[in-house]
Amino acid sequence: MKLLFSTVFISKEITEEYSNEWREKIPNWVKILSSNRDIPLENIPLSLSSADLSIIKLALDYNMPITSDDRPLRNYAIKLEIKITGSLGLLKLLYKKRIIKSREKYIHYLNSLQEDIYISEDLIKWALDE
Amino acid sequence: MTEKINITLPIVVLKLAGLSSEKLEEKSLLIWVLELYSEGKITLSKAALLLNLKVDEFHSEFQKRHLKHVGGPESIQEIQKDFDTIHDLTKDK
Repeated sequence: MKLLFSTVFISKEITEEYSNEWREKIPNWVKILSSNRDIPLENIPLSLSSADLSIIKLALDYNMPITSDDRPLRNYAIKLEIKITGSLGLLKLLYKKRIIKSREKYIHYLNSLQEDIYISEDLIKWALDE
Repeated sequence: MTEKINITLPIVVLKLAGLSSEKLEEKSLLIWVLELYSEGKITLSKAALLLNLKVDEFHSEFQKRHLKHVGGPESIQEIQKDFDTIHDLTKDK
């Protein structure tokens, strides 16, 4: 993320969900923001927490995209027409921009991602397509 | 989380697990939440909240079990949109 963006924003509510140990590790290019507006949200899924909603509100307030692999958060954001990205798209872009320098390294990162997330064969094909 | 339900389990489960009924309740909740997160039915944040854990604590419980979760885009159209979004944002990089 640092190689692509000068600043990345997270909400105050999200940081509060993590341990102090983790919070101390937040790098200085990650800024903590709160939404200033009272944004009413409708049909909020049970699958989301109030911290998830703080991200949604931030995206709506500042007209920013969200980066997340959490399916329920992504689906709700898409419903609200918020632009979204995730790890797989980011990885491919890093490879396309030659920030990930070799195909071997790129495949290594794809394999690491697959240890955490189920990725369908179609999506892997897409990722490997030059 | 205020509302609770009762479930019936064979007593042998309690004995095999070597847990008290209170601990079994705690363990059952953990198993359910891990499953819900793994299936992509709740977010990481919601999972931690349901267990009253910090997000990083829940994530290490999840990783400790070598579990994977359903996440990210569901289709080629969705991943292409993801990619286009990030591509447009970083055009000058």
